[in-house]
Amino acid sequence: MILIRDLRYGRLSIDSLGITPGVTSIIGANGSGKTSLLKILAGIASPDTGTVLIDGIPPRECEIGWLGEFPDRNLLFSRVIDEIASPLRFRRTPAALIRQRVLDCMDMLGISALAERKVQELSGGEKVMVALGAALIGGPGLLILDECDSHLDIGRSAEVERITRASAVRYVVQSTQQMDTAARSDRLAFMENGRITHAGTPEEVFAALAGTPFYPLSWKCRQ
Amino acid sequence: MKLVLEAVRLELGSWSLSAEGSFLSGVHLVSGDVGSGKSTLAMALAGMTHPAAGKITRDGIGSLMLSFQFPEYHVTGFTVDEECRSWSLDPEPVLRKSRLNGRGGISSFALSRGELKRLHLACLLPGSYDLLILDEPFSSLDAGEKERFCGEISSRNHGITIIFTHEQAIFPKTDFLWEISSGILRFRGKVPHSLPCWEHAPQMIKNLIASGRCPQNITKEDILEAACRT
Amino acid sequence: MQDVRLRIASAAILSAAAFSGPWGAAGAFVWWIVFCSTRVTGSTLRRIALPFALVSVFGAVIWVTGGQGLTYIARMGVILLVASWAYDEYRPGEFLDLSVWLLGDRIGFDLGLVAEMGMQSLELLIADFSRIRMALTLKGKTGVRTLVPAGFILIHVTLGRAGETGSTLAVRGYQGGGTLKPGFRAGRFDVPGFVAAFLVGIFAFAPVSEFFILYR
Repeated sequence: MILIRDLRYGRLSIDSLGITPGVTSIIGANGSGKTSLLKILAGIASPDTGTVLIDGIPPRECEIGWLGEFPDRNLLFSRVIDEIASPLRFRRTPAALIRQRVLDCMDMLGISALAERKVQELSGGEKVMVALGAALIGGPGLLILDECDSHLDIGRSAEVERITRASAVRYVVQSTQQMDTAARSDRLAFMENGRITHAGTPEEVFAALAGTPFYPLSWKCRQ
Repeated sequence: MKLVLEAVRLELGSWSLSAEGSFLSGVHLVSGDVGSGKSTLAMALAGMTHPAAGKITRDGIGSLMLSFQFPEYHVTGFTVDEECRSWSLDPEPVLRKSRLNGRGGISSFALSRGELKRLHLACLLPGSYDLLILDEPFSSLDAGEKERFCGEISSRNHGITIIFTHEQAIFPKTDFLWEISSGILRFRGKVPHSLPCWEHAPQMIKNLIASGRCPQNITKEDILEAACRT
Repeated sequence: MQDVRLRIASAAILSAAAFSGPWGAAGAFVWWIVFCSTRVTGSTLRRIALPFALVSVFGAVIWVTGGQGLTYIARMGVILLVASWAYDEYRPGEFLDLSVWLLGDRIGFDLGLVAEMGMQSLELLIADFSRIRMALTLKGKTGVRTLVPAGFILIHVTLGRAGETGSTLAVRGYQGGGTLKPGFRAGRFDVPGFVAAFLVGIFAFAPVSEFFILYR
């Protein structure tokens, strides 16, 4: 389990939160603290006080995959294979292992043909797949998606969701403004003014959000 | 008033997009996959770039505005108040509308992207442009803001409004649907008649149509009304 | 020239030769005619048009003030042609391979990473700047009045992206250096081209007149 205790970071204030394996969505208005929470889970930011442990280990000692809001604008390398291989290269994985793992990863994502291509010449959707590859190549225990579906079409969004579900990642924590995506999660947390006001299954959380813009339209239609 | 595309062809390296048709007064929604060329087409329609072939004619269009996906591009005021004034607007009502009350004195660049987007749209939408082109206007907005923004767009009764988006759930009242697929801009037709052939339709709209309950439009209220029909 | 090592070395030698004097520039120009001229495109010439115009202005000033302005224009023009050729031949990932080969998987990798990120950033900067100018034009700001706001916006956007890049590097486990086995391609004209460039260098820098005196 991911355990958060007495977390304080700027406006973020979480006394206690447990995230179980599976897909957890964090929802809430802009400025509610979703990205700050995700950055702390990723180890990018350190809390002012409190602890965050991923299966008993601090985030900075874990293998974590991160896909930000604009993944196609944060690619480091000019060649696709270098971009995807980068986490392995940074961690000094032997060169002979890197190539095979990268090719396997690209095969899983359906982008094997793009290996030697220039990243800037890819379509927006292909760039997202490359960024996802770089996030998954290290075999992360935690994959964090920060509203990356905001800028994806329906097809590509569904593909990212399918790939993350099919991957061996133990924890997927995503923030999203697509309530139907959040409704398909295993667990949900709603944030407001830096606090988690509702947490639980989608049914439990959305029951508390009925009548707000954060209630899935597809659920309203079913009712 | 109309925007006419005659055998237009846009090119960027090995990528190309063909477009033909007329945008009449009303709200047009253009959907397409990421990288399909929505932004490139938006810039061409606004006259910011020129097509490799064909002609774009702005008939009876005196004033136009293009809103980019990234609101930072439009900022000319160093403070939030100055930014409002740069649009020839009184800051107070704009700040109220964008829920930035009391923050007029801070730097425009101190706002988060979501806040900047709210401010940008609040400054933009009061303008009575003959042609208003919005490139991914829902980008960086939360679910509540999207609904508020859709309400404002739906109440526009002047000129041509073209929205380029891959939004999946929350839409304004739309008059015409267009789609970009396989390198071609395709006019699907007037809403609701065009809904059955809308490839990028959200799944719930597709489900409603499949069950014989085609919504009158694609707003949340219309979808709910269709869902409630027996 | 597909091997980036030979290409960069050739470009360096030819540029130095061209800069050294008119004979070096002539030799480098002949080299360019033999090995590059058939691949020149309109975009290549457009790319060097503005720098060449600037160089011509400086050269004209030098000439008018009694200096060797014309040879300056000729020498700098050849350097621009060589630089443009080296840029056109660039393939993604080459800087990384070259710097690791030269300097190892610590400093070399870091330098290559910086070069790669720089290239990525430059492409995005150009795209951002283009859109910023459009946005400002739409707002009624044109010409010189756009420079200050455009500059501020560009700095803000770039700093924001730099922060995100830093986060990306951190999450991917970057701590300095990285594993890389450099790979280089080989083209049919690589070695002859390099040898020819080397000879141009010798011709430009060797004391040729003394050689002929000794020979006589």
